Amino acid sequence: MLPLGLLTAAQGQPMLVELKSGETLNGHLVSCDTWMNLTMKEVVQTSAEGDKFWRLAECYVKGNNIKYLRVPEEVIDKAKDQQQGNRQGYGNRGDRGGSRGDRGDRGRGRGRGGGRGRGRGS
Amino acid sequence: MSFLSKYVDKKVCVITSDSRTLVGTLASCDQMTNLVLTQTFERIIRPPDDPEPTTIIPLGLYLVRGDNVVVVAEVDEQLDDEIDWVQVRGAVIGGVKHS
Repeated sequence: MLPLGLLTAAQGQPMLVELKSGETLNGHLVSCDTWMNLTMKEVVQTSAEGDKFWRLAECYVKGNNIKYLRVPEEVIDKAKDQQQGNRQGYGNRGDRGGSRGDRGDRGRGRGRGGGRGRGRGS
Repeated sequence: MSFLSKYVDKKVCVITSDSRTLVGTLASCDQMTNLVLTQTFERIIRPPDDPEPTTIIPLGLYLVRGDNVVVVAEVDEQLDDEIDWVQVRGAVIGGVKHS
């Protein structure tokens, strides 16, 4: 699964983000997007030297500033399960598609009926 | 055209723009060279005159942003296992910014 897919699956999990500046943000991932922009909550920000600390209730990280993310190992298993679940979902929809074909035939019948109805109106 | 995808599920050694050496299994990659590494270790190889020993830090699951990737090398696992990395000494890798 793609890296951004893994990140999306990691929503709600705690993680460490190191920025290009060397600062680190430890907190829970709220959401992310295709540009790797993140919103996190309950964040502890540490300076690059490791001497200063800030506590932030919420923060927004612009994706281009990220160096790397450290994620708990369980996330990859959870992400793979999610992916399996999605694939099974598509399979079910395929079955329903078959029955949709039957309804289509009935629809065509209805159309013919509607035409007759319109004729009566005029 | 060269593809990183042929290294997926193989053990790789990644050098990042901040001169760190990471070793792990490449779980996935994308067109931006964002990488997902599992069972990642950072190998800090120090010069011979450094009093500190060469250290290996286990890091777990790592997502590296593509901007920071310099080299991704396939590791020969058999050869790698034969080396006791803690004994290895070497020069520090230079930076990417040149004036």
